[in-house]
Amino acid sequence: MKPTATGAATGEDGHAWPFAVSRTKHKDWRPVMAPGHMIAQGGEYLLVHASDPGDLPSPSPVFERVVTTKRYGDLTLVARSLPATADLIGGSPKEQLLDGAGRPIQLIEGLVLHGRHRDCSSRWQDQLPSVHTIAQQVFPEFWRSEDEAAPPAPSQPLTQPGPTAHPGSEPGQITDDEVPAGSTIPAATGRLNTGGSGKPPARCVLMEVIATVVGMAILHVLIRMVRR
Amino acid sequence: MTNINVHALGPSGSGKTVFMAAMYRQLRIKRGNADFYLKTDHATAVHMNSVFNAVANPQEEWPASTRVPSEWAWGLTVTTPSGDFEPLKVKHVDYPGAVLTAPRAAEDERFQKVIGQLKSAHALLVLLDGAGVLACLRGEPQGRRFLDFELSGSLELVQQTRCPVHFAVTKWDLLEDDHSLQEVRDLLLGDDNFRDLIQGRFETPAGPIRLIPVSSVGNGFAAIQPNGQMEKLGQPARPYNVEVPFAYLLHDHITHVHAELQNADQGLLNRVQRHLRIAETSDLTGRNTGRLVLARELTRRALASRLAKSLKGKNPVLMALFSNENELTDGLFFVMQEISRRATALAEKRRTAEAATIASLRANVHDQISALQLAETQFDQIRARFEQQYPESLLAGPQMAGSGWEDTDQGLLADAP
Repeated sequence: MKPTATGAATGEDGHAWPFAVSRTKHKDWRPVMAPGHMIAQGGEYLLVHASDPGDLPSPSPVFERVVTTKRYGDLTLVARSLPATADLIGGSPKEQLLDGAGRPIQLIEGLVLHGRHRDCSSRWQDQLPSVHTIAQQVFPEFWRSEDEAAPPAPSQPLTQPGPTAHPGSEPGQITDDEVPAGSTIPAATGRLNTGGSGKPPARCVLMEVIATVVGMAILHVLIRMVRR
Repeated sequence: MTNINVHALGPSGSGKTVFMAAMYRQLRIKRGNADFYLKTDHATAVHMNSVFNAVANPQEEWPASTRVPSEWAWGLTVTTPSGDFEPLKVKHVDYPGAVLTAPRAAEDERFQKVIGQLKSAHALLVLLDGAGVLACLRGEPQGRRFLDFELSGSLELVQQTRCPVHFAVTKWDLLEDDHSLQEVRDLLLGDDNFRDLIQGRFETPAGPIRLIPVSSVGNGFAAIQPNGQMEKLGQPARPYNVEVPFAYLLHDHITHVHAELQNADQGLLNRVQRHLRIAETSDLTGRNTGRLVLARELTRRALASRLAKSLKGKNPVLMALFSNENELTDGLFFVMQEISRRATALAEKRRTAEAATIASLRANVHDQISALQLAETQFDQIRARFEQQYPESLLAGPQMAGSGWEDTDQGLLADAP
């Protein structure tokens, strides 16, 4: 399912893109990471105000938000807010990161899905630790950079864990009609699009070997029958 | 009722939200002999008070930085023996500083709307982060960032507007002990971008530009630590000068409107002036109220349509201030009366005439226009006190009739370093 210009989905919530928003000592609220297609279209800033936790405390419980946008249609966000602590930049988790004016910095991280998917947080919130892992990878560069024009890190979609809609496929595998054109979908633990191709799962390799051996055996039998 | 959109310009951390909360805190109650206060809806009041309380409470952290644009509105309420009037409504937009500093934020529709609101403001207050100014004065690296980067977004927006502008140095409590307003003035006018912007605004009808030191928390409330963080010291918060920019608001608006009207149709203005001279005396006593109402009605019938057409063609932004021809005529009368009053007050050495004028105005408030006149006279007192304390606050003061600047020889760029 490729995100369309209107962003409308067909009602399936099989893909969710990790995102994170935060600030630094000198830079104001902005995305740390965002869906690659939103960055390419210059529309990632809506994640900043769409993911506002409002009066929720920090750390917050997981919250769900549906927003209607002109550019992407309806978007569903599953997110949480937590204090940005120094372990994000290699320091102590007990040290709160502060901005230049002494205000505590928050990290809002979560998943964004195209379309309206009410109550999907129960299905996706288990992926939030994976999102946090990804955020931890990109935050140091976000913190260091003083370039106001720098885009956020692009994220690629996660697939929903558990039984899929396509019988015969393994969880985390890709089927042709699920893959957005030109993108790669990482395994269930999630990763950023680093440009390289990942290794196929071991199970796939084994099955291919078995299929090859069986095929060769059948061919061998057929050849012997013909020679007789 | 006159509706004015007034917005603060400033990057993240410059103090936009806290300044507005402190200003509301100061003006939500009638102070001293003032006959006015600010009123707002419950949600706005709760928000403003919670922001200020978070600032003032030494046990709480500083309020979180703004991340979502929001709009607030205040009504200026004038209380008189004949009742309460709300002649002025001020709208204000609060927004994250990234709107001005992050290029990619400009792609966001919601932020684009904020930029549009800022560009079409009726008055702008540029907030200069006192911590950044202090860093400049001390020669610290972040001072350079303040001048070269953080300030530039605000200056660029000011360049694109014609409305009145003032500059407020926030967090003045950090500077007051060791630095003077003159030093800050010299620092800013030593920056090419700042100086050239001020010089360019000489030619616009927007009126004088002031540099106003403000503190939302007062002296001794907070201090900058060696690591750059602001630490609360446990003293009670006592904002000062936070009401001064508001006191210039109406004054500047009138000056601006008058100048724009002069550009639009001087002939029409002359006719309005003639109607006024027939109706009023310099002390605006109750005997002339009826004649004033009659003059206003005649003007409305004779001139309003023509003036509305003229304004619409030449200055649609100004026309947008008045929703109908009645408001246009009332607003026009108010402007002309105010310009006339200023000239008279100058001639009579304003301070000695002020008390009598206020008493007379208070006794004769009968509608929104007269309520606005009473409030403006009291704002005049606030401005006079401020200008006496900070004569160096004038950055640029074009000589305009009735503006009150004919007798000042300060503030022109000739004395910039």
